[in-house]
Amino acid sequence: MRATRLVVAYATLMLLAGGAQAADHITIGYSTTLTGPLAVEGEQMVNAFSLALEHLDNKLGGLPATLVIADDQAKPQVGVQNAHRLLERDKADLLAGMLLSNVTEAILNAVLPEGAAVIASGGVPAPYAGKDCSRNFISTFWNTDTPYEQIGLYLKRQGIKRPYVIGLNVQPGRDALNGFKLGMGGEMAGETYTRVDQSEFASELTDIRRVAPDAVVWFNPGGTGIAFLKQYVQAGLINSVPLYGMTIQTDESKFPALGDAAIGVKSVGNWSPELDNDSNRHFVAAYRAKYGRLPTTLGAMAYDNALLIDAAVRAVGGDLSDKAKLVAAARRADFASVRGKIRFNNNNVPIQNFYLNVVEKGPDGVLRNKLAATVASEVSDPHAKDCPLTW
Amino acid sequence: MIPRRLVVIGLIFAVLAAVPLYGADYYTGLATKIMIFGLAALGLDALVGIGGMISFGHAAFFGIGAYVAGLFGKSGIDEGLIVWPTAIAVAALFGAVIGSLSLRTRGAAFIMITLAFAQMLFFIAASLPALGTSDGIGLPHRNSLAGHSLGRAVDFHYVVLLLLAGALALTDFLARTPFGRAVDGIRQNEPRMGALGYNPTIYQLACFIFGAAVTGLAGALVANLSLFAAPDNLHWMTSGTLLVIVILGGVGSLFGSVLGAAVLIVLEEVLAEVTDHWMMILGPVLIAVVLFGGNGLAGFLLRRPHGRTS
Amino acid sequence: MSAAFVLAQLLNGLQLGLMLFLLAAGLTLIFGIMGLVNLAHGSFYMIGAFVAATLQAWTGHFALALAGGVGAAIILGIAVESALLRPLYRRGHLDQVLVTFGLILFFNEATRLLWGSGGLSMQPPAVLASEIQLLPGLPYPSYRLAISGVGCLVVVLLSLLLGRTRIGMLIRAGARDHAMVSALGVNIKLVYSLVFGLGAMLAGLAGVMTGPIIAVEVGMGEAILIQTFVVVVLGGIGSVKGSFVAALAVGLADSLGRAFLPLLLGGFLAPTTVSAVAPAAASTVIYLLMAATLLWRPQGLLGHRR
Repeated sequence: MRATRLVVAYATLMLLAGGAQAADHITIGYSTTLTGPLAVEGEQMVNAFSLALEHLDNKLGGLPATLVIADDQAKPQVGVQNAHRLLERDKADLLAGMLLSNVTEAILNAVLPEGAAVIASGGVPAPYAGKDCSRNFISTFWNTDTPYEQIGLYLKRQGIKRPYVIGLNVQPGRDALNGFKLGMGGEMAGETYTRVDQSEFASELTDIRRVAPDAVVWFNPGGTGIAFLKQYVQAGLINSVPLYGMTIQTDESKFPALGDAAIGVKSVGNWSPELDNDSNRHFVAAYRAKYGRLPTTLGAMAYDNALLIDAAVRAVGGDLSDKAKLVAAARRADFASVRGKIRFNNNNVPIQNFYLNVVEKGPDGVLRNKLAATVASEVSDPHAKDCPLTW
Repeated sequence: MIPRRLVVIGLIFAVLAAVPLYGADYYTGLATKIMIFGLAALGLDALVGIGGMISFGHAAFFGIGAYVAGLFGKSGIDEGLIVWPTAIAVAALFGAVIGSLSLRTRGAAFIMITLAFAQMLFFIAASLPALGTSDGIGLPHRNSLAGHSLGRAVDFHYVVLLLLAGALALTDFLARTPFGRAVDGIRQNEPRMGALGYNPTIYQLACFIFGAAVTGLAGALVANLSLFAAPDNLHWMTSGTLLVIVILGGVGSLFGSVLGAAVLIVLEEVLAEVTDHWMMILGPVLIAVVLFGGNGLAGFLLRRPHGRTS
Repeated sequence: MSAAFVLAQLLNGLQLGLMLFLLAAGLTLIFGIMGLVNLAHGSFYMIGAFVAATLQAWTGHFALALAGGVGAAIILGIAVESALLRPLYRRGHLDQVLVTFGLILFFNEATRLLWGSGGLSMQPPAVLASEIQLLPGLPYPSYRLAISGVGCLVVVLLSLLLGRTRIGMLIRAGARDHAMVSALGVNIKLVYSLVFGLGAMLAGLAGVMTGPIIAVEVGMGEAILIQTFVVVVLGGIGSVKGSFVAALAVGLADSLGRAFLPLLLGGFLAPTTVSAVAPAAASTVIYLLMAATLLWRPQGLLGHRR
């Protein structure tokens, strides 16, 4: 009885003090995909985020940190349910991680109106990069049309005239290829969307041969993308028609399934293990030492995710009560990204560089992405102009 | 003396009604989810348990209900009194088409055809930009009921509770009418009922449509719970999950669907916290229940003492 | 549009159809003879591919991988049949559906536990790694031709087995009326095990053969399983011949639908509408084919009314 009264008194005091108190602990609700075909990506994210926590002595912004991980099974509804569990039962101070943009969108729809903070490293749903951008949401990654717009601009500079686009028939796939068309301009030689569970692409490849384009741009980050790439190589097209996509389709996590089919494949990404800065060198070496392989782009984004939270919590002096203030601190945070120094746009999506990567077999017989060129520097995504936020 | 079945049902609803008094919103949401999946499985149990039609594509109607709610939400209509009856009607309409085609077959072929139709709808939903392709359709906010907001988890919980109770009572009532008894008779002996002058296909089709309608309502509610209609709602794994719920609860018991949903969803929550490989445990558990479980939880709860079974 | 283009698309459809037949032949026999609805048939396809990919990585030999993958599928098939499924023959379809659904969950997760979630890579044998010039202007991957060749070979061997041997006669009789066959004093248990092993073998073979062209990954069995169901229903349950016809029909309809529907719709719709509608339309072709066939013949193309 007395204890209850004491607690009530303390709570009242806290309220009178305005609640602007430094927390003594931080709980991160980490949502990603850990079952199904995308589990391999989710595992890289968890690995990299945990590694960052290790590097930070299990503290974020000086506060001892607890990481609670939830598997969204790549389903929006499970993601929403997890988000509520993380926030309400596990008392997470903020949500992090996120993989598929449609799951992220469902989670944002559910938790942002309730005032939660989401500092993520997954794909940004197009509405949340544009008109629905929020003071409570920030991501270290991109929205899918940005790299494809850069591929379009790059191919245009390379003198490509008749590109053929082929994508998985999902919203990010359509966003991506529209981003490409935006960058490229002009007519496409062909445009095809493939079924989500389709692993047989003979019809589409025959059509590509018929059309004889001067480049093919593809979007298919799942397991069926592996099938597509293998069949593209087997059909002998890879030697006659260059293939371009985003790097996460052909990076470390895909090599076991792709095998040597990946050699020579070109892609555009926002990160490479070869980027020359202290943070990246440290991250790549430590990841390799701990997990025996190179990290992936999504792993790098997750590592940045932890560093960003660390810097933001430090900037607000450990006061986790005002979520918008926390996210605002994140966007201004001076943190050692594995991409060098990055800034955030008004929509809380990074302004970043894009690189051309080519898969090659190293002298040790191991596949890796070779950083071939910088495609564009300081790129803003195409949605930022629709975002009404000013800072 | 009150029949044991009613006592069990009363207890189930008492527990469900009490959850919001004790739990945080998360637990209330979990209980709401249990009721919604219980309602969806109730529709399937009407098919399987009473009509003897094993549909492996019942998620089709769950998804249809969800997408109806999603499309209404997108066009700015959020009155439950409009959305939910429409979801029921559209699901029933699809049930009439799919049912009349599928009922041209029986047995294993029926299982596979219902599955194929559900997959067809899944691919349409996952391919058409108007339905959001893989992203599905987000609802801006929860449906209201006669103008009252259901934004609070607790309010929504009790509305779902009432709908579930109503659907259960209606299904139970229909099962006892001459119509329901005829359907049950056809399940037990189709040729005999045919000889008695009943047209089995008509009765089974009516049962199929009823089951589709009930599950359609559940679909509209699940879209409201997560503010999302996703192709996943139509996926064959969801059909499998609904069948699992029916089996766990006890085929033909109707109220068992709620118990089955409770066990499956809680099990999933608990196992997923222990290991990412929880399906490796769930699979064998499922097999064991089917092989050794008798007639599910309802069978277990209604079993008479001293080993006598009714 | 050239004749070579049309011919190439026909070949694509044929090859997809033959792979579907490998899965459907076993499934339809298992339905027909044991009355068993086996959702886990795709798991044998997956296991075959995983074991073969592993063996190929170890030894570098495709033939060894083929033997190992098919062998693993047979062993797993017979083990599952005798340990779990045998008691289910007398039970209803509902129990069968649920047990085999449970098996899918188990096998998928066990595979992920054993091999990780990244999937594996398989290569075609070196002699078949390139494409060959079928006709002037028609290059075609030689491995795909090999897949079709293996498919045709299986069709011939299977028809010899079923049509010319004693065991084949028993299997056919069992598919028509299994009560009668066991009443005649045949060791029906042995026939069951043989049929199940045969089905698992064909599924494993399909898994190994498609391994080099797709991603060997967890869940690969389910995507193809649904199409296989369509084939089985379309052909008529229990009819291997029906499955053959239906498999080719489904393979061709699916491939040609994807190839020609966009071109066809492009004739009278705006390009943006085509890109919106064509993928949805193409993915429903085989289901519409099935629905139409059932309206006309509820028992399937070559099925018997039962």
